[in-house]
Amino acid sequence: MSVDVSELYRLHRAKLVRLAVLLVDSVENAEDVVNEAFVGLYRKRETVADGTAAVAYVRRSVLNGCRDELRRRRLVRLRPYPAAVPGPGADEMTLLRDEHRETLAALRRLPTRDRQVLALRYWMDLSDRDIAEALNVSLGTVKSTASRALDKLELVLQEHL
Amino acid sequence: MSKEGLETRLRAAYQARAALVDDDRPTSLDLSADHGVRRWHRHPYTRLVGPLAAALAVGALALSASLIHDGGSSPAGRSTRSPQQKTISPDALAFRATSSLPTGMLTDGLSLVVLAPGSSVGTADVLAVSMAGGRVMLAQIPDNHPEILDWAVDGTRVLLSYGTASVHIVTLDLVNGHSVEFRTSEAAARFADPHGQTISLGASSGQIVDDAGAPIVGGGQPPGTLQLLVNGHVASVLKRGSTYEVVSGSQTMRLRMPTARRGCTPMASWTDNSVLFRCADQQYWAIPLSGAAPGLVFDDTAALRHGAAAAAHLWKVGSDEFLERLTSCGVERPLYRVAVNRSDATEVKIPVGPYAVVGATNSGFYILVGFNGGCEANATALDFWAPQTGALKPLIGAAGSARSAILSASTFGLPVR
Repeated sequence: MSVDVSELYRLHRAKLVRLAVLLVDSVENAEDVVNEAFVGLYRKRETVADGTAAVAYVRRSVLNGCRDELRRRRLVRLRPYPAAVPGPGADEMTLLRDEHRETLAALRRLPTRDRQVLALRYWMDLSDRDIAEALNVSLGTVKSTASRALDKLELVLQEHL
Repeated sequence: MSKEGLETRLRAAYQARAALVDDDRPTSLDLSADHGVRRWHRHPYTRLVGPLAAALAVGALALSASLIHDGGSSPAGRSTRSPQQKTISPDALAFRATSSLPTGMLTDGLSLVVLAPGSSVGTADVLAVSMAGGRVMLAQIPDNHPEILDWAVDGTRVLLSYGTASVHIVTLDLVNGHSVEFRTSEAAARFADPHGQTISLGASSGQIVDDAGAPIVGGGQPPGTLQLLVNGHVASVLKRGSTYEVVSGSQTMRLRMPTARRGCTPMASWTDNSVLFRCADQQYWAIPLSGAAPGLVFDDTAALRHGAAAAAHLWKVGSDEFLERLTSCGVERPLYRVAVNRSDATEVKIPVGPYAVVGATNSGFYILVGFNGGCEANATALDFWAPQTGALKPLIGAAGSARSAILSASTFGLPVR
């Protein structure tokens, strides 16, 4: 029995796009990543056990896709046409309060793994165990990463903003 | 800051950022009939094939129900639906602003460049390029005949267009990154005030629709009439003989044309309160927004300029002078400097080679030229040219891919230092 991909898309797409936006900043790139993740799920629809496993699979795909997107941008920055790297959107620049903009700017200075853990914990409200499963790391790694990421975030907020 | 305080701040920032993501943004997946995974499309209705694609499209439609009422597809052209219906064309949401311009750059001899970076995504980048070498990507626009139509006198807004049969007109606010998009059959749009808050459209016969495909009230006048968009809305236009009365909310403007019969096309903002119109190719009139009588700026019935004027590009370079390029593309691209106060027009000799003038600073004599094989489309580099000295200064290049091309350009601000 295969999972109903269209139903999962309807139920989870918006939440996952928001998660991806918090990691890659650009709504368009976030939609890219999420749709690619669902395309990947469609490929595996016959082998995924149930809806819960399918959601976990898509979430992992989104996290991996965001990581790949950030990696691609680092490569693009090395090319002679750096303007192609998207920054914060106009909506973020104009519609958010200063405090939120500063926080998001500070988050962009953190390593990808730190951003993933923080977003999963404080936006998705996942348990540390679920975060460990999503990122394919140990529970201890999640706890230590989260703790260090918060320390770095506070430091960046104090030093740079 | 305590850990709890930091966590609270982090949650609030996440929630605020996530709230900006519109649930109704329509997307769909594209799965081809041979069961392989291909490409997805951000815009619906484009190439949905296969049963799952249809199901996913239904899901996407449900998410965007507030925007899409009829659920049908619309061809990439002017909407033929009734005003009560809304639809989204495949490319209606294609333009997107990405960031605003640091206001300090506005005084740094900026050029706007529309550049196709050579990728296969079919989009072109709108870049602000300073003489000091700084670049900011302001927006992405479909790689479909994109053009910079006008730049407001105060430098804060730019008028862009893309498309051919159905032309998308986009006002991009450089200060805050906001954009407003309309579709019309008329591409001759220019700003009608120094701040870019009003757009004058030339004689238009088509319906004007907003970026969601809905007809705009007041849009779509009979052929040969003038239309104005005031602060993003089409004003109602009442024609009284040769005078157009433009009402937008509580604001009323009156524009008196030189004749009730001749078609006039807006060319550029001329003064703080007038727009330069070309009427019947040979005459240029300054039409005051106050409703005062129009003033003849330049009459070329003596054929001082040679060549077809239909596709002219015009740049004001002084209080009483403008540059005019008579043809858009092709081998002959004569450039004339027109001195209004002397009723004089002299041809400007541009550098020998595959050059075309694509812009001029509004404060001096420096002309932006494109090194290309035909017109500015498919140019591979832009340079500033100082006609007094003959010096060329490289501004931006687009090498790196066979498809890399500079598609349009415009300049603003201080002359070359």
